[in-house]
Amino acid sequence: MVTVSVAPVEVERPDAEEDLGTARPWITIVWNDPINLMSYVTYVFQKHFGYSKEKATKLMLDVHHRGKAVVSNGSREEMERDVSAMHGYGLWATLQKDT
Amino acid sequence: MSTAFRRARDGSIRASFEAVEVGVLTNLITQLATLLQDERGEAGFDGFPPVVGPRTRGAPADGPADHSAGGAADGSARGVADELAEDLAASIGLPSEPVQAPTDPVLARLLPDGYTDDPEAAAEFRRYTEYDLRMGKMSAAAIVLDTLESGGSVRLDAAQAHEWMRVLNDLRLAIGTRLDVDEDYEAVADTLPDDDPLRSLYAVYEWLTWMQDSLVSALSKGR
Repeated sequence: MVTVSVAPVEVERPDAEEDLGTARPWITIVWNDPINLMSYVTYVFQKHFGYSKEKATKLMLDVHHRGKAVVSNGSREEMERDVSAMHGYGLWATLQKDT
Repeated sequence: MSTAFRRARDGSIRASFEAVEVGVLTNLITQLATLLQDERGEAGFDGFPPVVGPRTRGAPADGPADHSAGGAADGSARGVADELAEDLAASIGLPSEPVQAPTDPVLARLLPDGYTDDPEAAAEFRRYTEYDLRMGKMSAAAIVLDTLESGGSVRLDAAQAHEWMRVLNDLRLAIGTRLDVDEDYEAVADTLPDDDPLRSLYAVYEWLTWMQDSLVSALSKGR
C-alpha cells in the first residue's frame, strides 16, 4: 500500500494582489473520477511528465485510492500549463498554492 | 466484430472495424465535435436538452466592447493599459471577459475548471485556455475521422494513435457523464430491463472502454 503523504489540501484564496513571480510554489492536483481508466491515467503521467512507470503508477493509485494526488509543482504559470495539458487528456486537474 | 488495437511489426498501431461500428464511431465523434464547437453549449450530447442562458465568452461581432461592464463601476479604475491589454487579447482571439463554466454537464466535464475554490481565477483561466482546449479536442476528432474514412481497417502512426486515445477518452467522458457512471456502473446496467434504450448506451461505453484499453496497451508496448 502506498504510504506517501500528500500535502493537506486546504484551498487558500489567493491574495487580492496577484502574486506572480513570488517564490511560493504551486501544485497541480489530479482528482479521481470513475471514468478515466487506470492504464490511461498512468500512461498520461508517463507521457506528459516523463515519469517512470513506477512513479506514474504510484501517482495513479494515489488518485484512485485517496481521491486525488499532487502530480507536479512549480510556478503558477507552469502549473497552469500542466493543468491545461491534463484537461487536454480529459483528466480532471486543478492548480492551487501549496500550503 | 472489431479487433482490439495492436502494435504491428512495422511499429504501426492497427485495428479493424465492422461497417456498423465505423458508423457508430463517426456519429459519436461528430456529436462530440459539434458540442465542442458550439460556443453556447446548446448542441448537447446524445439527448441532452439545451442549456439555459448564454455563455459569457466574448463575441467580437456583437459590436463595440462595452467598457462599462464588469469591474469598471468606479469609472477611472480602468486605465489605458487595461484597454490596450484587452484589445490585444481580442486581436488574438481571447474573450475580453472571464469565461464561466459550461452548464451542460457533458461539456463541463470535457472543459473542467482549473481552480476548485476560486471562481474568479477559474473564469480567468478559462478565458485564456478554453478556446485552445476546444480546438485541440476538435482537431483530434478530425484526425480520427480522417483515419476512419479509409475503411474499416485503420493503420495509425504514433501521433495518430495518440489522438485516437484522447478522442476515445473524450467519448467515454461524454457517455459516462450522460450515464452518470460510478465505479459500480456495471451492477446498475445489469438491473435495467432488456428493452431499456440505456442498455445500448452502456454497451457502447463498454466497447469504447475495451478499445481505449487495448490502444493504451499497444502504445505502452512501443515505449
